[in-house]
Amino acid sequence: MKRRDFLTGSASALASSAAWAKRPDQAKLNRIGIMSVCFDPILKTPSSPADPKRTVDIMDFADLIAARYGVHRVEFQHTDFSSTEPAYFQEFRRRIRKAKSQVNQINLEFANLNISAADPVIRLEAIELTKSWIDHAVELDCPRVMLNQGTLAPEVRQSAVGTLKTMNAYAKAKNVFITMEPRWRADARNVPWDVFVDVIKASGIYANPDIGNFPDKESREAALPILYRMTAGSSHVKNIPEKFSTADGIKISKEAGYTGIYTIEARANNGPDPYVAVQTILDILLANI
Amino acid sequence: MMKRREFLMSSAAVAASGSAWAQRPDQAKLDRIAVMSLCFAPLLKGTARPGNPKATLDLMDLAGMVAERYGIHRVEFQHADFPSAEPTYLQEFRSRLRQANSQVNQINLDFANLNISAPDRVIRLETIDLTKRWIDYAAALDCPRVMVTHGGLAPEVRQSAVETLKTMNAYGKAKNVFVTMDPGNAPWEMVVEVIKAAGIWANPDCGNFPDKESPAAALRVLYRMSAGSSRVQHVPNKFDTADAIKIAKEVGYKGVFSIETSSRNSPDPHASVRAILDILLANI
Repeated sequence: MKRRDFLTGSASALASSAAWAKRPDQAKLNRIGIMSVCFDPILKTPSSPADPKRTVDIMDFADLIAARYGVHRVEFQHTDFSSTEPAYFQEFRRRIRKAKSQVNQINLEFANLNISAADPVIRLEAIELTKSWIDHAVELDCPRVMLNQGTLAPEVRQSAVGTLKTMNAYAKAKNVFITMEPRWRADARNVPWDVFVDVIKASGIYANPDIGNFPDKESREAALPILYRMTAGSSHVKNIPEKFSTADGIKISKEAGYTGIYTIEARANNGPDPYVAVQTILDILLANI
Repeated sequence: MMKRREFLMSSAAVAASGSAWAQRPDQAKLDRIAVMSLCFAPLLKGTARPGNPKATLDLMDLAGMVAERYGIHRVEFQHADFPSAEPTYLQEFRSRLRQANSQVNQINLDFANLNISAPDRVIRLETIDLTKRWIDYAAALDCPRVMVTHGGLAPEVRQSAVETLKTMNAYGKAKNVFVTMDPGNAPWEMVVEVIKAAGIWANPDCGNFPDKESPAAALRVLYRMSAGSSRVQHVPNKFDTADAIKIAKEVGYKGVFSIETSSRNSPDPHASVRAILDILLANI
């Protein structure tokens, strides 16, 4: 997919400094994004302004990622933003452009508001809030918003599809993609990946493949070739060696003809230092894409 | 009294609608009265009541029914009444309102788990964004007011609640829509302070006080802070509705009285609305 997408020019990327002695292949770096969630422990928040461990302002995030890693795509949670007023987003956009970067995707996690709500009023509120964030994505030149689909339980699946269609119609008019990723947690009520694929197809939205979000090797290997063909040009990459091989996941994507972005999602399980955790996944990507 | 987006229905248009009454009440009085959709909740069709044989009234027909039956051309809705907020639905809704020569008096926003008193900044931002969307829909429906719920306004969140209201109000002003709030179950003096600090407007409600003493003091203040609309309930064992209307008149209130009934008034929503309407017509 190409809507609102752009490739950051090599010249501008080279202008930023990097910790590496030898700059990696810029064409590969241009296919990599980094999620703000990787830096959760050190991101400043309004609720803990005096925390000495929190040293990174979200406004500076794109600059930091460009300078340190030579990566010019950054991905945010909607909860990262301290305001949704036009003036704030104008300044945010200015800072993104200053770093020669792009917001790759905004991930929406609205607490109890999601497409699987049984209550039609809640689904309508989910639609309205998603529309607001589609507008905010446009304000930030961001081509994608990703939703949390909730349970997609059989009894709400049809209304969830109807809700997604309404959101998608709005997004299309604004030139923004709506994506969803497969989710799996041992302690949650999970929907099988093939049902997830059916919902995406039925609603006309796009997949955000995530190498880490499967219960086992079999489902991962069956699902990823399909999901990489249903993207809006972006995916998530985790590294959990005891569960799966990240390199194998990238190999599957290449075999499926995927030419989009790999966005790094590092968590606490990757180590206490977020910079190191991101670097580890970045090195795997550079060696394999 | 505020005039933004307000209009008085022309007598000619109003006279064109039929009424169940043998003798038409004073139209000038009827023009100052609204009826809330909430009064007819048991009769309203909706996805929440599929298959309920008593639910015979489509939301699209509410304004027409209220105009026809009561000669009232102001209707007030909950945001949750609307089965869709898509442009085509709202366009049709507006067309049906105009057909009834009616106006939406106010839309009351009661978002699940989202309000200005949320300690979590993210929840407050979501409340702002949803409120903005409903301000847009109010403007699209020629509705002059949206009412927000205050969520408690506990001391530790009060300042952030005021800031949240200010952001909403700035947007409301730009769209020519008033943001209002009623005291609910909170101490009315504190709510008055919050309303003043935020620059928004009061929606006086004679039924929303914990005791018999508060309404007399509070209503005198609140009617002067309105955006041209107020709420009228009828709970005889708690307060005298006629006394509340008298206070409104004493402080020079010239705005709308919006009828709010519930099942405690009568099992028949029409009888409940009629009872309050008769009190209003006798006292305003």
